Amino acid sequence: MRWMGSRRDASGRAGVRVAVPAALRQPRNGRLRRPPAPPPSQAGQGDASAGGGGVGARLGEDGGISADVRVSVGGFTLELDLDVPAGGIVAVMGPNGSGKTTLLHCLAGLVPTEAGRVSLAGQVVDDPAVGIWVPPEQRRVGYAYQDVRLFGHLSALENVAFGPRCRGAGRPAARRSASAVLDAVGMSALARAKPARLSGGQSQRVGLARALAARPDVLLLDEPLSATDRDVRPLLRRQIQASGATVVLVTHDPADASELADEVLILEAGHVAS
Amino acid sequence: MTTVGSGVSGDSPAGAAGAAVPPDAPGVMQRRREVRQRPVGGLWLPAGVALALLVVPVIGLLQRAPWSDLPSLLGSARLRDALVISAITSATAAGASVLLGLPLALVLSRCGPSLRRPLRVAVLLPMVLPPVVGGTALLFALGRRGLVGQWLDSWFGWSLPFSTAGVVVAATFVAMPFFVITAEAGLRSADAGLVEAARTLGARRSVAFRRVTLPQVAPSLAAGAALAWARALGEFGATITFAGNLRGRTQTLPLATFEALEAGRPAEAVALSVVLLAVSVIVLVALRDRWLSR
Repeated sequence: MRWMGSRRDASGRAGVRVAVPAALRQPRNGRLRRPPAPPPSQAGQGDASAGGGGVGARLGEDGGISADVRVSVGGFTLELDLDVPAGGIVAVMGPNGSGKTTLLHCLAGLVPTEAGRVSLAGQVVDDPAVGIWVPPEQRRVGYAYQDVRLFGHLSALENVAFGPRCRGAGRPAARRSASAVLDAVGMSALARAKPARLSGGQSQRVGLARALAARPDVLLLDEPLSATDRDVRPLLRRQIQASGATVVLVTHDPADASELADEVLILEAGHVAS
Repeated sequence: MTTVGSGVSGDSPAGAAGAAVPPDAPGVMQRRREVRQRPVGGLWLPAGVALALLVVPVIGLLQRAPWSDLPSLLGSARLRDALVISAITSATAAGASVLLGLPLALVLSRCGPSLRRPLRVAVLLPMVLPPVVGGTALLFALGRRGLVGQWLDSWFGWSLPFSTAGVVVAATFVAMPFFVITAEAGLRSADAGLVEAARTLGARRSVAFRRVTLPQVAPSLAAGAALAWARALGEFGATITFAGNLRGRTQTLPLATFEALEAGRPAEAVALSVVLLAVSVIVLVALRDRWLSR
């Protein structure tokens, strides 16, 4: 099942564990929250979730994000322990090369963990010690990439409709929900434009819409607002909050962190800075 | 900013604040153009000789073409047979090149360097191999007593040499590398990040390939298919060695052209050549975006 079996390391669970003060973990009042996702129906994964770890009840394991991982990519190693309750928003900050994007890749399933465990929305998606590996397309994540990655042969609307289509929606339904999300980020006027015609900020808004349109349990945002105009950022931040998803937001903008995040995680050289 | 041509300051609506000159102001553009290299006088002579070597034969052919007799010449039974055989075999060979070549191109574009090097040699060999050698090799591999041919014969009763299927095999042998190399280059330059994006949106590997990678590499695949088809259409050496020159069965346009010249029917040879030339020009026009617009 897991495709990097030889690198498995059963000892796992290494790394710096940072206790975030309980007060910080509470969602702020007045924010629109979706109730935590129901427990997974797959019996096998439920068992694995109960069997491993020995950490006791972790906040993120009942519907949010729980990742206690070691990830190695080309000589760089990221080791951290992250817990985000369902519907919570954590901002990840830190210098270039500190492992912010690697963390998102690990959660999205674009890079396997070497040791540890990742659980998203109550489902263990990566645990090499017991051989669990859920591929990216089966994780309910929405990912807005730092380099946006719009599909060049599709219009803005078709880009946004791609996720719903893959998740089984019919073409008309997918286009309807896509145009609603495009509208929400203020891009409906350019729905038919190909990505080559969009500016950097416009592309980023379409990229965010595409991540939101898949109605993910977990939103992974890699500097989603960096190229957008300042005056549309409040709107975009509201859309991120309104998604109700558990959010990991990589950002260099302190305003993003203070406006959106319940907690801030600072990475440095692959570790959480204390 | 102050070094830009003097005309700019007069035209610009710079206020008291002194607006900066935009980088695309006229003066800057002219400077950039001057830096571009132009051909020097001494280059024209050797370049002209090279060009003449390429163009004069084509002019000679067109000048000798029996334009008024062309319809009747091409209507003769012998040439019609060759046209049909060529059309069928070259199209089939191009199709086989795509169907078999695409998986090979995918493997080549994704495997590690230790496997890629020997695979590349195997793919490129038919391109640099003299076609006659290819035909001979095919004969000893697929002939009735050949390495594989003996089994084809005893199990299925198939005999490829001197058959229309043999023409297709020979043409595919020489044409497929053109498709594989072009497709591999396209696949290699395809953006892996877009596949990742598709997968995080819920697309399985196969769906991501079909809906994201394929549209991206479609121009490369089309160009490779056109090249393979053109090479298959012009195939001569491997075909005559492996499949012979049997009218109505294995005689393609190039073989018929050669035979017409040998048998003292130059008008027929020129007519056939004009047809092949026209096809080549059509392929070139179809690929113009790729090769002519730069």
